[in-house]
Amino acid sequence: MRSEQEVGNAIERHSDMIRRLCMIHLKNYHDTQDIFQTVFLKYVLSSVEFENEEHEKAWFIRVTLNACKDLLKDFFHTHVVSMDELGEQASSFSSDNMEVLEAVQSLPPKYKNVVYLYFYEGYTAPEIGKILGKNVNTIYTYLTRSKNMLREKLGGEGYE
Amino acid sequence: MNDMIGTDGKLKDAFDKIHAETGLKAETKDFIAHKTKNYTSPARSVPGGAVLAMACLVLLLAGLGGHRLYFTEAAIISIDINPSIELNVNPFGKVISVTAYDDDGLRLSNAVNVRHMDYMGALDVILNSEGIATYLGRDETLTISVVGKNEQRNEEMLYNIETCIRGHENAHCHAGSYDLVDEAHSANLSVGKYQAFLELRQLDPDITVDDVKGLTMRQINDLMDDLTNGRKDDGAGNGGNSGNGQDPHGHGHGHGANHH
Repeated sequence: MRSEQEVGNAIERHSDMIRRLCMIHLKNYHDTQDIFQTVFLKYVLSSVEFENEEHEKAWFIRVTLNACKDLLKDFFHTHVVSMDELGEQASSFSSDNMEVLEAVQSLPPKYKNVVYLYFYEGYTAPEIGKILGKNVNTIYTYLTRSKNMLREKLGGEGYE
Repeated sequence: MNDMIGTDGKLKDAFDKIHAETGLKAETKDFIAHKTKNYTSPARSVPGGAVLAMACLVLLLAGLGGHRLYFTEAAIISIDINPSIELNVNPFGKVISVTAYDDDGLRLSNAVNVRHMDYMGALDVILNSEGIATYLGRDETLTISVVGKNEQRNEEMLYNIETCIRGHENAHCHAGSYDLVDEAHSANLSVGKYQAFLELRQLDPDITVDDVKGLTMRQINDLMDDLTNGRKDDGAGNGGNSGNGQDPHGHGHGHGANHH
């Protein structure tokens, strides 16, 4: 079992990323709390030895996405997300921020993940393929389709 | 990428403003401390009082239904190069049967005896077998797909398998949907190869199951690359007997699954 210090450090390192993944997938703050508990409980009990920080980060991404997927399978959860999930944070958002986040939230789950990992975290398509367990060509397809969808939703140019 | 949704754009601005709340982090730390009794013992998802009842249940199952449970399939590991085989894994992580989907797969499954082994041990034996080494030496692509009924178990298996194949050149590991199992087997394809077929069909709707049956995973990947890059040639996707459909190594292609 990992130590309190290890868990504390991991929470500091990865919480913002997990929070963002929750935001694009989940409906309410209570679900986000569930995911945080699930992910970090799994971490504290896991005996996985990480080779480096990138390896650890990829582990957290995958475990978070799987936890979200499991939660959304629940009959009482829908795939509809709302900016309410962000609670008080939403008040600091500009209308542009809201528009972009809502556009990402409205994408199918598989596209949301790719958009976030590619455009925000800066992973390459092969890296995303490895993290998500998908063929790299599938990732390229998802990227193309998600860019088209974002272009439709947000309008404008520059989505090439 | 672009200034609208790229790393310098609006998307980055918006995501930059999202942070885990201090309260959320504190609650999580409290939860973990509580579940681990201040980091002194592993968390138990089963209440202590229920342990005895669980033990009784296990004994009962062992006596009455243990045999059936042992032979219940919980996950499938599809191993595809050109030999296509599936390891059927029970809830305890043991290989309960091996299914071959072509002649090469049949030869491979006959050459190794992995029944009742842990799936990791079985994979190790298979990956180090002479047959697999020969194929990888020809620069073929090895794809391992994991599908199971439980997402958490899938994830754990995927992680373990990824660790196992690290260092094997041209080896890739994927997670898949268990929902595809029946469809794949109806088409006489392993789950891994069927997933590749579905991805290929997204790029070329005319492609059929028969077109991919004779292709190696390397050929399927090359075909996907060509289609993605808009370089679909006449031989691609129009039959396993022409163009990319021809197996350059002259491997046999049996039809129908063979259980061991």
